[in-house]
Amino acid sequence: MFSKSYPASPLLLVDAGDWTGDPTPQGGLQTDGLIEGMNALGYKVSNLSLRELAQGYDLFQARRKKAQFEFVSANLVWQDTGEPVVSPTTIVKTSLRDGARSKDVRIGFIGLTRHDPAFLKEVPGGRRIVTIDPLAAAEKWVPILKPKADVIVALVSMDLDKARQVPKKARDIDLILGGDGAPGRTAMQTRTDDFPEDTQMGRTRLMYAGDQGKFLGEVRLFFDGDRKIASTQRSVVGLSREWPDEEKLAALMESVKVAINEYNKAQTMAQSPFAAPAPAGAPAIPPAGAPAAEPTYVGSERCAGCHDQAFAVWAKSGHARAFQTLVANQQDFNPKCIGCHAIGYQKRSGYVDPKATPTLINVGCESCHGPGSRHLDQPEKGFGRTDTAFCVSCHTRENSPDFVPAEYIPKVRHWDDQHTRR
Amino acid sequence: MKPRTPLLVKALVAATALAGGGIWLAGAEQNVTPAPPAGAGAPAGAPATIVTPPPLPQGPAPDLAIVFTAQVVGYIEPCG
Repeated sequence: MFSKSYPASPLLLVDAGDWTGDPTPQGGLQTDGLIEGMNALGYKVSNLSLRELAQGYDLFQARRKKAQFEFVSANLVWQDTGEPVVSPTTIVKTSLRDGARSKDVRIGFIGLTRHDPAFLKEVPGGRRIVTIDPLAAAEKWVPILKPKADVIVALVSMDLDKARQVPKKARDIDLILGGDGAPGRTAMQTRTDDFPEDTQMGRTRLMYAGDQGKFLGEVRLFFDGDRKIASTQRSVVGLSREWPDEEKLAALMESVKVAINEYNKAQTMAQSPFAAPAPAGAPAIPPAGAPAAEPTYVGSERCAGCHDQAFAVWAKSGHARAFQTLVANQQDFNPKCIGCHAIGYQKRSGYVDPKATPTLINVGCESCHGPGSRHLDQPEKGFGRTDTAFCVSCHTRENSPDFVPAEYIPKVRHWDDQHTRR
Repeated sequence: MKPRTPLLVKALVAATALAGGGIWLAGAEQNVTPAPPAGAGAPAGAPATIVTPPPLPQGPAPDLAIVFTAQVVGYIEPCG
């Protein structure tokens, strides 16, 4: 429908930085996959931020060679000279829609990231990369960029409050496009995808989209005859599953996901108690039933003897098949996923892997009620009190977008409100 | 929890839609996955997959559109 409405409107794809995965082998696979994807999408420019350098300058340089887009940063600098590590700015010359009042424009981009005094990357040879104040960097480089560009766009990865100060130091910026990269600022309360930012500050339009690639920020530009922005129309496009997939990229992302899962599987199984005989002197795994200071996980089957009705409800529910969802989606060795699909993952006596702890796969009784060994030995009323508010710790908007408590809770209801046997 | 697909993949579709690249079925209110050729794909009788994309904001044709992502942090897709 859009293609019919706007067949001739050119598009410029850019990233505000911090798109690189974690500095782990799995994160590396994600990052390489993203570069391939961004190349395929035709990204033109990315802000260079701290994540891109997390695994060192050399690896960044290797990835930079693969990237078919340009990195910019005005405030990631060499400590000895104060010169930017990559170009602080760049110009993208692009034609405009046929019929526009100007034929083409020069879009000037500047990259700005948060200033972290603790950030320091040493490069082989002894040089060091540090951050400097982004406001000072903007104040320095925007005037240099101004005569070369018709429109100035700052790609920023920093605290939103800090980004709001940028136009005060560099009034000629037309657009600030970004995301909030400060640690701890992606919690539910402050996610910018919950509260997308779109404000006008002088001539500058400041726009933040959400994180994790779940949203696209979109700015439609209309120019006057002097190649200046006459007006804009902005939106944040949520990439929900209603959007269809593009086949080739879907295959690429699937291969990345499978590679990560296989890596995780190899790592997990190598560390599994079933992987190899324990070396001499290794601490023995406590035998089942050994007295423990803290209650341990026992698996849902052990609950059925007394709680047959509750067990029957559970067995018919999606919780009893939750692990299969991960298997089907090639995520069954993804540490970020297992916690909500198995019992007690990363907790003492909890799920380890499918061979070591087969009774702890799926969401089971103890997922909500806690480890049950002590209750098994000494049944008492009041064990495992919980609350339906606990559901949302896993049924998040991201992973369970259809979750509606009034519809979902009846499917697992195994308690009586008046005579609660929770 | 229903499977969802890689977000970067959706980004291409959305971006292409924004660019007018032709992935959307021109003029259609819904984007309907075409039926596979005989003998291929889903078994006979399987329900057609219908994807209803969210509407994009309407307005005059822009002279240029800038589309941006932020804070992707290596994210590919949710758990399932």
